[in-house]
Amino acid sequence: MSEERNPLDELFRQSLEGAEMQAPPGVWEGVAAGIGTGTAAAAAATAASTGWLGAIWMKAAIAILAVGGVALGAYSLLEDKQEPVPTPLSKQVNMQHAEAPGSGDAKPLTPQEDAVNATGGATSEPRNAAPLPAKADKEETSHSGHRIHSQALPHLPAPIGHESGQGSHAVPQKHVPSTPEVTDPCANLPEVAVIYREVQPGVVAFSTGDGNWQQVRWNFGDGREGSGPETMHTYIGGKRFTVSFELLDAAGCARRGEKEIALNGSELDGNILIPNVFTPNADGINDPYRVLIVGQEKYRLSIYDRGGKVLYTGTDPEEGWNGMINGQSAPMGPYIARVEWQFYGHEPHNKTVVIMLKR
Amino acid sequence: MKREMSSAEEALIERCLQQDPGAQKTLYETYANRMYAICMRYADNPDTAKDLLQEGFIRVFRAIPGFRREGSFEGWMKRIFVNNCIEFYRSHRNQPWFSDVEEATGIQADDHTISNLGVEELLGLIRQLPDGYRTVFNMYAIEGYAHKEIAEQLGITESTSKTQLHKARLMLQRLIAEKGGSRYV
Repeated sequence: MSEERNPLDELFRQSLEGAEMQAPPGVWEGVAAGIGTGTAAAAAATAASTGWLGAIWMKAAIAILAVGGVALGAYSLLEDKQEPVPTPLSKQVNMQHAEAPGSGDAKPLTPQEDAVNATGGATSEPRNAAPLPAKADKEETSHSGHRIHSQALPHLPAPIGHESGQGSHAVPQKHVPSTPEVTDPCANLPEVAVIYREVQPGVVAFSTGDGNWQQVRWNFGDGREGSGPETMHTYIGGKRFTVSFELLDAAGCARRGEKEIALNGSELDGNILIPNVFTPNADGINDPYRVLIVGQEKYRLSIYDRGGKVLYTGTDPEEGWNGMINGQSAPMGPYIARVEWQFYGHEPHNKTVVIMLKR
Repeated sequence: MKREMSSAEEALIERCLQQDPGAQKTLYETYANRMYAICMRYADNPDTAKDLLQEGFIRVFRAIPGFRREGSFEGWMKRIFVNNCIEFYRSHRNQPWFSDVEEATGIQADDHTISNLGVEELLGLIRQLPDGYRTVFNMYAIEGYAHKEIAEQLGITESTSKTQLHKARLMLQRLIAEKGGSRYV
């Protein structure tokens, strides 16, 4: 997926994975009846002869009818293999994946999966598919795409992404057009045209058009990155961004370019959630102290102890403070977090809160 | 959470296999709250969640003979619950599952009191999502399924799955903002 670590997803995942809620009363009785603790027949017989158990049995039976009638009934229509073992093992890998903290988004980027597209249905198409407007026919053609031309440029934007993409480091020396030898397959390549389209306010579809790209990376200009020949990005606040892209063609030649884009504007404004407690105990839940923020142009977190001494300062909201002071676990108790940020198109803000470190 | 099975747990499962009612009840009591939180994530109301909890446990007890002791018991159980919830909502798909239910926003929250949203509040937000958004969001963001798997499980296309996720996020952001305190204007 081209989705970055989405802060909203993270917020929900960290809080809800493994969460507990007081189960309502009466469920066990229904379960017991449903599995026929003893045997169902015996339970029924008992139920018939005893008043209160009978009531439970009836209730359970009704509940089973209610749930089973809808869930099981519909289910068996849809799927025959259902009964004895409800497909748990096939999901094992994924579930463990989800449980591993932080690994949820670390999936390798495969171009096919990355092909998010705004118009729907194009994921099954080959990567060198037609440019976006041609695909968008069913949706609308009125939005004629803006064309972005790469300047076959030697002044490269900062490399997009620093992951282990095989192409990324092989690329620069190939690209340097300093000695235009005839043998250099990467010399004198035509410009790359990239198309973008604001499909709804703040939501922009990008496409590399027709090209047989091995790898495509985007830097959306708001601190977020993506990949895939077609991708979609939601801008939160802000109207002008410099988008840069890096494409690796079939011959392994890199093309880079960047373009100022102007949007009509987002429906969304930035959001920030400043937690007031964290538990740096390496259980994968709330380990670093992190502020969840989207749509920021600027951001800084500083942590102080009660004496006002700076323990941490950082500008990467994903990083946060790990609860350590000089390599030692900080003691439990209150600390002070000062958060400074500026959403796109807004005045700077700051807030200072007391946070509790719990272990 | 990803712990090895303890011997006590192993013994408990063994007794459940032998239909020991006491053991079954202990097992239920051990996991009911955690499983209920899962059901509450997928359900759009507490009554449905309760039904899903009961149905899920019935399935777990029936499936225990098939538990292969390869991973954690809780993880295995969780998958049964998640599958159960998914199936329940998949069966509702004829209803207006994937329609656009985005509503106008425009609520400007005051700019103080950024609070730490608790489990119940977050669940409350998720519950407000339309079924389709909620199911996809749960599967992707919390369970960690890929869009491809979501598409297979729900019988939708991958791009529908992506769109649903995207819309779910937008709506959640909006709901958080409307909840007050976290939107700056």
